[in-house]
Amino acid sequence: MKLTVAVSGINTIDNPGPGAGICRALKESGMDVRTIGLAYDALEPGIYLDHIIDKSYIMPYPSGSREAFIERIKDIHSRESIDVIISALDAELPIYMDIEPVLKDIGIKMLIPSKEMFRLRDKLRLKELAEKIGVKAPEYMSCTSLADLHNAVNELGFPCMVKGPFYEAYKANSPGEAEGYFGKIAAAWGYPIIVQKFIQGDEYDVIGCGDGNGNDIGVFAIRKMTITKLGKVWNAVSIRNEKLIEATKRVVKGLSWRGGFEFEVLLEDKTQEIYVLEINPRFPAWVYFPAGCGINLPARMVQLLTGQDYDTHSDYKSGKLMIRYTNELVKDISDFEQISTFGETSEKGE
Amino acid sequence: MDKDKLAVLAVSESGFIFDPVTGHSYTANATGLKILELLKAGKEPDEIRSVLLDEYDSTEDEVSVDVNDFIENLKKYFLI
Amino acid sequence: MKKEYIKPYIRKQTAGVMNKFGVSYNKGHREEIEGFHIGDFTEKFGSPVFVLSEKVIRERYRKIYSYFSSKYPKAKMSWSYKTNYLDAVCSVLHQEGETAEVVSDFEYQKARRLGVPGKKIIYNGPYKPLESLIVAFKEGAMVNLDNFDEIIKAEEAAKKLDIKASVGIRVNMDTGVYPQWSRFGFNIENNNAFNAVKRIQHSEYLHLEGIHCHIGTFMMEPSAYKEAVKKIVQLMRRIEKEFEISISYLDFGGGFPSKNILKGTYLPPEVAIQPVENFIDAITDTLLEELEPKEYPEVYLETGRAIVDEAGWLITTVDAVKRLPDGTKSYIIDAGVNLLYTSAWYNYHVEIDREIHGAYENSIIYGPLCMNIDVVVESAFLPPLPKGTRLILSPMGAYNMTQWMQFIRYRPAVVMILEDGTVEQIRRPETLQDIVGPESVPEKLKRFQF
Ligand SMILES: Cc1ncc(COP(=O)(O)O)c(C=O)c1O
Repeated sequence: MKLTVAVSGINTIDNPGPGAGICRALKESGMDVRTIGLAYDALEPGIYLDHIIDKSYIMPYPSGSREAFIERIKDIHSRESIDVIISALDAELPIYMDIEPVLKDIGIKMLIPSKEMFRLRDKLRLKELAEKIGVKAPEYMSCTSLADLHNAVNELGFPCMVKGPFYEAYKANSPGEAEGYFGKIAAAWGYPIIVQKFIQGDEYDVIGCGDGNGNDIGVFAIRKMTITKLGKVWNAVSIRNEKLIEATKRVVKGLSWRGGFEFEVLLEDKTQEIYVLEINPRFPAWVYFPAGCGINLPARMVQLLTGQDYDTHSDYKSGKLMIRYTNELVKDISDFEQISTFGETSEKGE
Repeated sequence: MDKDKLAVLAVSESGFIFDPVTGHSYTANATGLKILELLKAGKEPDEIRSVLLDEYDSTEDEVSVDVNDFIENLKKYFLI
Repeated sequence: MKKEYIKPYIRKQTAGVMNKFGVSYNKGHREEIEGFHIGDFTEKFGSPVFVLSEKVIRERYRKIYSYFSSKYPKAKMSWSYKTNYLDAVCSVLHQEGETAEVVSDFEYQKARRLGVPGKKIIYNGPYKPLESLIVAFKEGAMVNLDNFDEIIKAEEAAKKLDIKASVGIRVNMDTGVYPQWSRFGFNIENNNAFNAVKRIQHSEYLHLEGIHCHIGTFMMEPSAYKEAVKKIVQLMRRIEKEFEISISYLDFGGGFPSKNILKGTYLPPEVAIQPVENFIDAITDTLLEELEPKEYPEVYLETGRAIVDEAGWLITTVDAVKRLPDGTKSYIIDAGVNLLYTSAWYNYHVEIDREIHGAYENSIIYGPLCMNIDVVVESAFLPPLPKGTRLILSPMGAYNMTQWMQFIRYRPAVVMILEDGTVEQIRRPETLQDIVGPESVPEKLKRFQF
């Protein structure tokens, strides 16, 4: 069976999206897959990675008109017969949650959370969620003004973490630093800004995928070894921590999670207790790492959606190392012309 | 008006314009390309207006506002 | 034959414009509202013109009331006049069964004039003149007191009438949402609220009937209501026990959000704004958890924005197109911040009345006032709009038609699309006489010569 899978988030930049990793995992799965990249900008590197992404299209921004977004997908679908879309960006998930029934009607399948699941994992509701799944959540306060910030740092003390609504987190050691980060994040991402108690410990990450009925179809845990300024994993090592795996399974069960996710936690040095930092409602950028270790979640997701047999085991080795690196491609300005004026790449070999 | 900068632009029919000197690229629509071509040929704004009016279905007012706006845009990009 | 003219454009391609949250890319256009052509409104009633929909108001109200009353047996709703007190709007909601919630003597008089009996009025607010309290008590309105001085004033009013007046108190509390609206009413945590009740119960002329709160407007988190209900029920229990009285109503005010986009938020309102059911659940579920059926008091909501905001649009016209020195495209329209009080915190939804080809650009929309602050939309992604294009801005129904001001221009017509498929003007455009009517000139200033 030949399948066509469209994947977004193919921006493998310094704040990378997982799209290219998803496509690579699909290409190496042994399935016969045509991969379609859905990009928002003509310079997203995935557009030019034609060894793993067969063809790319430019999409209208997800925050714009719903109609324009659906029309574009229908237009691409009429030429490509898409079987599955794997959405890999936080910002577009809301629109996909809305239009999933429309897509289903035209034969495009997706495995994504419902709006209710999406809300339950909201950063502002972590406490509630943590209670539900039996882990801890760091104390935090949400701020929409400088007065709130002062209030929050008084309450939580220093050092503390200042975090944006979507991205960016900084450790502040003084009121001056906290104010500086507050202004910087507000200018880039808006409100609310979260001030969180600092906990001494290491950051860990679990990737997984839920089937929507409370079961996972595979999970994989890592310790972050180095992270970028934006807080993205750069190097990582696979680990087997049963307590963490159990907690992850409780997340999937407790929310009946549907789709890929990344469970970000902190293990406190002193106590080894699990603090939930965030649950991202999509695969993380390092999604290829587990695939390379035998837990190919994108492939399993596609198999589940298209009614094929799929593995659900999480048998992987600890001590596998992920080294991310940067690389350069040489292309021609005409490749850029093609995507930027026609909104799609030319067919391979054309 | 400085036409040297315009002269070197590589203009593709698709509306894609590449400036090999600065490395910047631009996109334009058919009407934009037409004005660019006329400017490259040394035409003055008044002449451009009348060429457009001959060729397209529009009014004197609209075309003159638009041509001004287009030239302002080129200035903004330091192309003239 | 001549070719179709499309406005020329050239745009520099900038790398990294890709912002994951993008700009509002609004390709669609809107030719009508509920079947009426945009141009017909302006032709008949001028531009700008506010358009309200009777159907949407009723639908929004019924959705909220039917859910609320299905979840709690003694559910009541009272129309928050300040949100939109045009007679026609209030009448629609009074027909639906809402009483009137007013916060000034002017609003009180307006409700009475419309035919609302005093008994069907809730009188709130931090300032109530003595005379207005006397009228309210005489006519049997539900009065919620805000501060200790007002308790004394209420006592004086009741004494003048020689009655024992029933009153409520407005309270405030920490609901976990900041900023806290702590300037209205008596604080619960510091015992102020309890002391106010004590003062009321000691009075010969007053007795306590109810508790009122309004924790804020455009609340995003239903859990804040849960907190409010918990704290108020606790207070009620304590009061009932201590003074051996029974509280007959609780009023949780308004504050539910509409699908407007607050500035500085990125998620579309369909996702950022929780459905109104979640807010009602937070209130009713907590009430049912905390209360025994025999003690169920009447529970009021004074929902304003969530009912009427999405029932209103403003149709306005592009009067001039201008490129600013920094290259930004800007438009001047015929409606400004004088009419659009809510533009200070909303990014309105902007629609155009026709299909326009050409490159989309981030544009600023300015109002017609001779004032630097007159910015209606800071950034809208629009194709090149010719002069004369109509813009349809929404949601518009809440607060604009009460907080608008008469500054250098007349206020425009407001029309309502009725359910029977007709359109009626419910407020005509102002005339010079409307504005100069109240004025007079001292005799010696009457003549001048140039
Ligand atoms: C006492 C009171 N009740 C009701 C409302 C209506 O609020 P909303 O429009 O947020 O529902 C307000 C508005 O501020 C208010 O002050």
